[in-house]
Amino acid sequence: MPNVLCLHGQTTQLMIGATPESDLKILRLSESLYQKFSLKRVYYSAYVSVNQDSNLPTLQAPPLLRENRLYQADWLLRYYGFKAEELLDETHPNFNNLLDPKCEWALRHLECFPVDVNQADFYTLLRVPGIGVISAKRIIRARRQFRLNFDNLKGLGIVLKRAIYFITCSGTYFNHAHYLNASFIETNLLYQEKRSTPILQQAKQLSLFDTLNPTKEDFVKCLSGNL
Amino acid sequence: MFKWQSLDTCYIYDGSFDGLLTIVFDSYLSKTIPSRIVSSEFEMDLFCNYQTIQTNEEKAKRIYQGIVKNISYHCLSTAYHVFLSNLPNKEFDIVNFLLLGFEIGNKIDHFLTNDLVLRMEKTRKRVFGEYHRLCGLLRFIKLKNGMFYAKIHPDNHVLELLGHHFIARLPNENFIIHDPTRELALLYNTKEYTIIEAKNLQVTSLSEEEQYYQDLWNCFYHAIGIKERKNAKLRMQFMPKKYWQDLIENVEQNSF
Repeated sequence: MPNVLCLHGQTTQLMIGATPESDLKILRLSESLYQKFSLKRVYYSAYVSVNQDSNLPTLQAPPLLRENRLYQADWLLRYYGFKAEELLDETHPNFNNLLDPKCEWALRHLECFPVDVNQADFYTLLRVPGIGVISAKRIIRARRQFRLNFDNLKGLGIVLKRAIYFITCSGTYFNHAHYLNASFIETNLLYQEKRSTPILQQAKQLSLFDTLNPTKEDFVKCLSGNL
Repeated sequence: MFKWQSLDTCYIYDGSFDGLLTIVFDSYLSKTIPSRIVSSEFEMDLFCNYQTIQTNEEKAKRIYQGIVKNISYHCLSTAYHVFLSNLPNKEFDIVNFLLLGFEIGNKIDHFLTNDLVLRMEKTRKRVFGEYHRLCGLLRFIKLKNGMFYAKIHPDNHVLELLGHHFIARLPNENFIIHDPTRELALLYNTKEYTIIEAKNLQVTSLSEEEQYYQDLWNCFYHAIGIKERKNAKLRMQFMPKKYWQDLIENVEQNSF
């Protein structure tokens, strides 16, 4: 029997960052809302402090990245066939700042990889980091006619930045190398992320003469010419 | 490329989609493919034979129906969208694409590993994307005589696609959509539409309340944004800078 409240697609909104709940708790809540109340959407909004009061939480800045991670996880729940328990558990109650939820999951479950793009079914392809619904559909469409290799994938517009570590094309890895080592992949992914985002620390041009601290006598020597 | 013979001839057509389909019809019958296809404005090449193709509506109609029947609707839509694009040598690509389609049937929709098919698919996406964006970024101005006027500078020739969208949205209004880069304008008078050449189309007099509504819209635009959540990079993805010139809201003022 359908829920009478939700016939026309109810939605709800959760505030993020005002109270100390972990991401796991939030994700479990939205999962049960989707399953039990068949909600259309759960929206997440980073808490922006508008009024100042001692009873209100104070935040330096709205947690926009955390909001983004929750939305990514929300999509994984609704379209990718993931469960909240798979993405987070009691030992990892919060999402990583540096890697997206699917990537994090893949690094913890390397036994599910590599996935062969020419054989894997739709939902297995969806679990590869960097391959989304559109890319997976496109792969399935294209491989009906030809066996795909890495160049074909690039041509299809599949973003290989993250995917290369987790897929094989007809049994071969990218560059014929075996990448499946969690720390190796993580370092590589983080290095790529860093290159694409601006460096936040203030860089300073090094000077050759910073440490010398010339005294008054040195100046006199320079001027008179007897060094 | 196929079993068809390549000719040393360059075809000249009138620049219409029907004209292009006529070329497909002739090529299919004679099993020959021209070396180049150009519309009426082109640079003459010395060592090339030129042949003008007369647009034949009957032939075009047969090809049109043949594509839907023997290939797929998706293929027809791809060919038409690419025809509207600014892809260099698009005519030659479209003819080759359709001939390949007649050869292999609706499998062509999955031939994404073929360079030609992939190029067509990407171009279709580009044209459709620009049309989709402009549906949201087109701004009408009310003129003194009650007509609505909008100016756009698209990369691809999406005027007619936009026309269909806005005729469905505003069936009871008279409006003009003007594309100064191609010197074309789409006119709609609540019953039918035409596309005319518009070399020096100047808007002279706005209606009295127009400035008031523009100020209101500007005010709304600046009030609706949340300062803490500004994300310039994301905004640029949805609303690229090349379209800012035709907007009413002052986007620059809101930049940071």
